[in-house]
Amino acid sequence: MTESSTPSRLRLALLAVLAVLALLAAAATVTVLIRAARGGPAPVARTSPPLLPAGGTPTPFTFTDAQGRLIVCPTGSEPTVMITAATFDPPLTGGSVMVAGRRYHIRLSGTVDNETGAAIDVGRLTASVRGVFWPARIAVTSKIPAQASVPVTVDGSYTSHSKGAVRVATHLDWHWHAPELTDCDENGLVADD
Amino acid sequence: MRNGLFRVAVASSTLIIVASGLIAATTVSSAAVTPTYVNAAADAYVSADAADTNYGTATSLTVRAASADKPEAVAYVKFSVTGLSAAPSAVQLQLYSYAQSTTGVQVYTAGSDWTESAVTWNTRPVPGGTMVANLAGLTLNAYATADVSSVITGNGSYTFAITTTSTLSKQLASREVAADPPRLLITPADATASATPSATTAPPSTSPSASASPSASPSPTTSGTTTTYTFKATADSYGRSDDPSSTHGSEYVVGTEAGSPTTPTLNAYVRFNVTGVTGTITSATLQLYSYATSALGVLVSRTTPDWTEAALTYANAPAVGAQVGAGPNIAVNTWASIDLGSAVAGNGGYDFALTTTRTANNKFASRESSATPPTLVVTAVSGGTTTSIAPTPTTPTPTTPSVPSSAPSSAPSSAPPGSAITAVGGDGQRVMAGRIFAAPLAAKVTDGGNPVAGVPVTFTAPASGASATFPGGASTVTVGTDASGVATTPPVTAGTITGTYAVTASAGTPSATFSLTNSDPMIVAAGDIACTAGKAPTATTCQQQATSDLALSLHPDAVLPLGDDQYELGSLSDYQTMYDPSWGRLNSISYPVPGNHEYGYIGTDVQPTGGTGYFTYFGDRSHPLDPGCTTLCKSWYSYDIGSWHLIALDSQCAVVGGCNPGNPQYQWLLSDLNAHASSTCTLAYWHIPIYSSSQDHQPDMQAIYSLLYTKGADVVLTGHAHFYERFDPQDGAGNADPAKGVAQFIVGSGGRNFFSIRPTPAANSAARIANTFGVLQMTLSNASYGWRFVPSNTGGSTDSGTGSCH
Repeated sequence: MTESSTPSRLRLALLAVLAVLALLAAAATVTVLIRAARGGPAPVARTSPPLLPAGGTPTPFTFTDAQGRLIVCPTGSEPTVMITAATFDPPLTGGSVMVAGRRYHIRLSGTVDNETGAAIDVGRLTASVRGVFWPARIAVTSKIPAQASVPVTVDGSYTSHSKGAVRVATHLDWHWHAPELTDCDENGLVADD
Repeated sequence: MRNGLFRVAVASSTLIIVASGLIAATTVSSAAVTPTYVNAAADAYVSADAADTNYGTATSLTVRAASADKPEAVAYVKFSVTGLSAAPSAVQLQLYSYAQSTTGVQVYTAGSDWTESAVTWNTRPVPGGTMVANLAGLTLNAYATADVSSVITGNGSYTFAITTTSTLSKQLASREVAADPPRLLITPADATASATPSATTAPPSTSPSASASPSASPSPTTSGTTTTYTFKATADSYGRSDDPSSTHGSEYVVGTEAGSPTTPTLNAYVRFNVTGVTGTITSATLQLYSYATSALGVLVSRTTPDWTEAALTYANAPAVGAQVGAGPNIAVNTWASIDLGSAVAGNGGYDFALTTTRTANNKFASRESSATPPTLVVTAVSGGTTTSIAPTPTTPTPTTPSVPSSAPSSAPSSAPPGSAITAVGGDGQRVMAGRIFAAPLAAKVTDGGNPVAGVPVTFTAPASGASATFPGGASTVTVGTDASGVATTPPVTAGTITGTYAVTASAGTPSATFSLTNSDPMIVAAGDIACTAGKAPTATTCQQQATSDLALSLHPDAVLPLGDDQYELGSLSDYQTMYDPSWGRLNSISYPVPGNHEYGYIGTDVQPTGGTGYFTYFGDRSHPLDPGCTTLCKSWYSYDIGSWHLIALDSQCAVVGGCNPGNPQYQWLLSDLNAHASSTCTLAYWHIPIYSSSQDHQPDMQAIYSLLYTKGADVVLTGHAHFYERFDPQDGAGNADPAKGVAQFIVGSGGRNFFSIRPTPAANSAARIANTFGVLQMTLSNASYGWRFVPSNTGGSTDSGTGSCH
């Protein structure tokens, strides 16, 4: 008798505990649902969102050249053209649209930025309008020191053959001034887009 | 006997619930034809300029004709139709458009031998030669519908190719947008049809988010299952008498205002499509997110459905019918809940007119504000017998201690002995002195763990010092507990004295305490925020969601987006897809400025936009001096927060007519500073800094900086350089001036990506934090300020301090 009644009591106690837990869970659920059903403003939480992983710092790209030297490539932002002002004469319709058949005088000004740790040479700087090469006059110096910007102007005329938006783009071809950095290319640089 | 009846009731309810479940699962009907939605099983777009790129996970489908500037893009949508035993009587293809377009898109059939994760331009199926449908006249943020009955004739896999003849991009929601996916609406052939499609069935965006739950109190006495259904507005707009032919359907607000000799009449209209509700509707509540505080609030009336969102004007608006609800005592930046009584009786369309007796503009978020659209909450009981419906509580009269009518007549007059009261809502809040706390205070009375209804709970704020008031300026209010034992106060207004204090809630012997804080104004600022639609976040890019979560968690009183808020060109569709779900959640307290990207100045390229996306998305909030403008607007303005004067400026000087003496923005600033010469503290902000420890600065705003310095301004906030940097106070020429200089901050850490900082800092640079996303938090006190850079990244550095106003 004793042997058989003890497990029964244990089973009953276990069932009772489970029932209490189920009731507590149900009560919590009901509380949440009541709050949701109210639709009013939720109580203000003071918790902060989870943090992103650490940002970190980019590491320089290195390689061993043909002479066995360890070359540490420059870091920083990829050299780029930054157009800061554009004038269209006559002005674009609504600030964005060219009219078909109209000839526009376009003048861009800005800088060529070398935000790297080494000097660069400007190989070629060209421009395009609506994806087609644009024979504009471009003025820029050929060598840019490390962490420096130089002014650039792009000036020319363009006849719009269709009505619509316009995209004037510049294309910078550059290379490292120091010959030993040639094979670094853009490795290790950050694109500041 | 009671036990026997109870068993019968339970058994009946169970049978009904089981039967309902079966109906929901198979949609077998012998009495009615029920149209069923089938969501897309796969979708993607392909672009000719990236012939090997797959866009299967994009959240929008781009469609575009080729031009000199842009490549062709085609979208593909695949559906899997199952469960049909006969050809359906009607099938609609529904595509949710992010574009407003006259040309629209065209629908063709195509082969289904493609997959969402692999299809590219090079592997795309060739569209069929015959157009299935021409979806011309797309409406912004709405579904476009095409009849594809000729194509969907039975079970199978179907692919539609979506193209356009327009060279301007059209964007459609992809199936990754759970609320508005491409979908079919299939109407079975007849009433004797067998099971309608089920395998891929999903509710439409406007369908209820049903969840079995206890109803909001007071609840009907019922033995059935109560279900709450939530419906977002399917259309909304407003008309104004001083501009009776204008439309406002695409605005982010709807306005109401009572006409007077000095004010126009503004009436708003909102539409809901109630579907899928089963059982007896026991309550309907209209929820409106308010941008105003008003004791008179808003009135809700019936109206007729003869209006459209796109065309409604004051002149053609339908008549305002019988009033069905009233929402007094609404508070800024909170939800107003308006009981509509029995106005919603079943499934169907419901049109309501919103009016007010207040002779000032009550603005509410419209459905274009995707985070806070007008919402209809319907509660229904099914599977049992409803024996009575208690009246829905009205907002308690705050100045007269009272128990709301919702309390049962047999309710106890005080908490039973041994009962407990606990704070369950509103504790720990902070708000700017004089403003309304975001949440009311809520206390719950329980007895042995069970909620006690009808107990009067008195909330008491301190009589002096830092404190708060209830409507009418009362320091106490008594509210009865509802069926769940919770007593909720009306809106709580912070007093003008700053500090932390306790409000008590008492129901006899026990009491609960709420800690509240009235603070100086606190603002959050960041720029350079959201990536183009379709770009997924990485560790170092596109973290606009994380930074906006951080900003939200700080509970600011105002948010200053510092420009380049939306890349690459600040298009309206990108704003709606990317910025809106993240930082757009803070729009009601945001005071933006445009950046170079908003105008199409994107570094090496220029694609002039006139700022149309920016000005349209933010509306008049971004150009209050040029209301209604959408292109090349006057983007500068000013406002006061607490004792501070804040000035929003535009650093895209070539676009705004220059930034030097004699130019429009400069002259306006001069007048504004003169008009606010008595302000102790002044903060100005724009996008491109004049100083930075990188290439990312320009001298264009130098004359304006000098003017601010001359007039005694204190702080300038900027973005553009994608890092955080702070400069010691300087004059307009860059000379340090600790006594009178202006402190410039760069907060370009809003989420887009990181830029590099030069190893050698610029002159007077006092702090720099690279490779860390985050926001600047500023406290604007009476004659001083505090700042703190709050990082979003683990281990991210911070920078904090205080300064005095000149």
